[in-house]
Amino acid sequence: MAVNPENIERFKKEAARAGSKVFIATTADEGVNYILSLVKEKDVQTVVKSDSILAAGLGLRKQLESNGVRVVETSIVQWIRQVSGGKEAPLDEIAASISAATGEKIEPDPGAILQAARRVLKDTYASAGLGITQADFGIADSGTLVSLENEGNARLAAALPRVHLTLLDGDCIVANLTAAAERIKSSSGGIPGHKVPTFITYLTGRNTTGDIPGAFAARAQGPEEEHILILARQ
Amino acid sequence: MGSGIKQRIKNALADKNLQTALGRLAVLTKSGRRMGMSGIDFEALRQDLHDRKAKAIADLPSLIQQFKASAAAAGALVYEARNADDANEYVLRLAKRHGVRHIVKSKSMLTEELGLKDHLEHAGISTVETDIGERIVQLAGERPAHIVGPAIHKTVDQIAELLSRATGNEVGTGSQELLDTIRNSLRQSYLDAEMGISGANIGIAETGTLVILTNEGNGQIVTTMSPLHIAVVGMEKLMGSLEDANAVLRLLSRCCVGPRLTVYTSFITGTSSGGNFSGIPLGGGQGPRELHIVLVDNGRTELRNSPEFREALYCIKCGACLNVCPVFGSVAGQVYGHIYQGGIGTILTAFFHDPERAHELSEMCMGCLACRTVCPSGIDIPHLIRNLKSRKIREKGFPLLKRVAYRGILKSPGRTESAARALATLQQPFLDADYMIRKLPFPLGSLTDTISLPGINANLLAGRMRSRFIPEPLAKPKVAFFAGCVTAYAYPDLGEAVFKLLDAYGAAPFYPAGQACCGAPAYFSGDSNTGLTLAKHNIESLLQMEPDYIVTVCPGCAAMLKNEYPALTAGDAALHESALKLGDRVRDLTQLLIELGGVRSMKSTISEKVTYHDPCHLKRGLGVFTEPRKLIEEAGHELVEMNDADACCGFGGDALLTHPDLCGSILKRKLDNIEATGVNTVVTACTACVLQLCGGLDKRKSPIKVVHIAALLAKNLL
Repeated sequence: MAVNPENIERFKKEAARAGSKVFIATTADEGVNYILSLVKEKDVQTVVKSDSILAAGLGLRKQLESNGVRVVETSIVQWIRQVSGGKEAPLDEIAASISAATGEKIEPDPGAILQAARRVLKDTYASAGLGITQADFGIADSGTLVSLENEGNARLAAALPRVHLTLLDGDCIVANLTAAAERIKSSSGGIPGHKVPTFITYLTGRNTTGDIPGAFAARAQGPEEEHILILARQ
Repeated sequence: MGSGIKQRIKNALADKNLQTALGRLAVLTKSGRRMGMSGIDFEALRQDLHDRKAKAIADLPSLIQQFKASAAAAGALVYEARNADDANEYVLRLAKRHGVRHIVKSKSMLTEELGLKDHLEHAGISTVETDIGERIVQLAGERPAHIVGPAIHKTVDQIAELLSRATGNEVGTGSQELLDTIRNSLRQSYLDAEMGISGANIGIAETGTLVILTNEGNGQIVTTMSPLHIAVVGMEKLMGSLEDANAVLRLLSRCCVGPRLTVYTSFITGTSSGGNFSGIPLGGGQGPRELHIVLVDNGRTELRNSPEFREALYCIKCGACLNVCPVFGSVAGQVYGHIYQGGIGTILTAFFHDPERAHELSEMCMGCLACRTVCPSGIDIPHLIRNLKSRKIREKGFPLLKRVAYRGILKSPGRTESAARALATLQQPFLDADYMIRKLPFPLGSLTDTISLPGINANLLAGRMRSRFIPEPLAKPKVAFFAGCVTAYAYPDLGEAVFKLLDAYGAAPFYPAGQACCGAPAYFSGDSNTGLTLAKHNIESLLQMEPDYIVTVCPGCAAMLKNEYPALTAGDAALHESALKLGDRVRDLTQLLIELGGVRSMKSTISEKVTYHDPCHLKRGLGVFTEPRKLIEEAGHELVEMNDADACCGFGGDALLTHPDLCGSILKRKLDNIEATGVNTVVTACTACVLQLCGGLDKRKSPIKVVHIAALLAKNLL
């Protein structure tokens, strides 16, 4: 996709209007520093994160961990890998690692492992101070982040932690809803039978409610702040 | 039941908390609307949405088949439910089969329509509403008061009390504390729940996708964290493609509260997958293991098969029509007594719930057209309400009083005139020296509760106009004056003012003999038969002398002649052609004066500060609102705009008889806005508005004068 500085500017303006805090980083250091200071400011102990090429490029997990922040991977595959020390292993060894990590006896069976992962992660999302996810692309004219996934972890990591930060590649911003639909249609579901991914979320601004008198547009049930870190290489 | 709704209206009008909250909300929805409409071509977008919804409803049977196939291929289980019992039983059976004891639920009008929550709770399954407003209303054991803010009628003290009782802990009244308490308690409910129930705003047939819009974030959690997700979806929500869904997304949030999109727009297709680990499939992801989609009919097929009402299915439930409805703005949602509120709710209630209840609701409509102007799907709600009234007359006959008034009197110009003469005599004991009637005896007393009425002028207009039945044979535009009942019988002097103005503007005005009531009162009460008789009569009378224009000073009449006669006469090709010809020539007086060359020389000495009230049918029915302002200013007056100049005055036709207190509440807001300008004169361009505003200001003993623009301009002529 072609870089379009106008799209970045429009996106930033609209996302800010909708209640998000937008930061454009032109170098990896700027990006990492933004997240580290956010973590410090919000006194974050635990970060939940979903798979993200941009985070990997920033070496984000290491950076956070070396600053004393616990980072939990939320895709089940990554979570298993993290729990079992980063190595590929046979089922019974994985089950043993998970048993050790969770303090429950887990059978060496994919179903049991899945259930254990779900149980642990469910609690972790809500207790995490920060959720970090990556948007597949942004929509300029509404300041919207679009995330495509089949698993469901990204939407939970976006909705449940106290603060949420989305990484967005500055090159991946389309103009409007029509262009977004085109892009979605061209990305196959990746699962047999699915013409589109299981979960697609358009996130626009920060969650609100007007249901409490005197607190119009107050934070509702999602994060208290929505941060968007746009990585725009010069 | 009749007294039931009257009592509910009375209670709502007397509820101080509700009235304060409604005032606050009116300001928010107005600024929301401005925000929502900025930077878009609303008319083009709503035409697009209208066309797509029309196509989707036309293609519904095939869309259902396509949706079922796509959703099933992606791992969802689709069930088609015929009615509420069918849907409720299906969900209950599912819950029982899976041993579900706790359910979390996101906002869904359809589940309210079905009574699903009660059904589950009766079976002993706890069902927690997760939208914050809905949760408050649930704890209070009430129904949502407002589509935008279900709990707006609750004060912080009341909410704190509800939460203290629910949690067993003392909860303070700070907004933040209230929010935190609700959020934390809901977080626990999410973890406990074995089933999440949601609705859906759109179903996309091509991909088998559900689209769910929320602002709070609860929708994301409800549809992801529980092992079972049940989406209960009205079959009318199905559309073909992602681009069709975009047409809804482009307008829904903008029309509802203003932002470009809702905070969370969630597309769900089938069940989740966690991929493979070391080549071993994990067999699922972190979303629900099962996704059940219950596609509900419950009266929708019948609605689809009723051509007069079908377009009600285009509704995307944005609430824009409620935000602008003067009735809803006076009493909010609990008054409606069932699920669906306001004008569109009246139609939906007729098909999804109870036609009797719907007829009762239809009598609350003011006919102000505000809903039609803002509907993103272009639904002509006032027309649907009229059709509902018409259907009731077809099925149940016409109530005696209306039968006498419309068919006995208004249907025949001769009899209308005789009745006016009789009334001019009968009114004498009640007539004050200034020709106003301030107190009528039982059973007519309610008519003078909120407004004073003008007396019938014994010197009827038709008699005064005898010398002007035929236009002068001059090379000037021939202008037929259609007086309308209020001018003819209450304000005949206004008719003389119109002639003076038209003479001054170089036209050849005349008064077509034998003109009758335009038929609007009967037609909008559902009496199409009287409407058609009067249309025939007036088409003949008005076109007889081949006028270049037909001019009115009552936009209700003008809109009837121009917009309704063609549809009314559709069954008779020759008559229909005449109706179209008539419609082309109909003008409001202000429109015509501008067309005839704008302002004539005016005396400049009597300029004053005035404010202007936009009549509903002039602004929204005929699209005329710059012309009167231009004429007022060019005549040398200083125009001071009032707040909500185009809000209804509460004249409301039928509703004036059925619900005078409702009309009174709408009138009160209008008069408050007029008084707030500090001017001494309010100008308007509709005789019915003059009647209502005059009557209301008189009751207030206000010194503010009400002047029809024709009288204002005629007075200033050199």
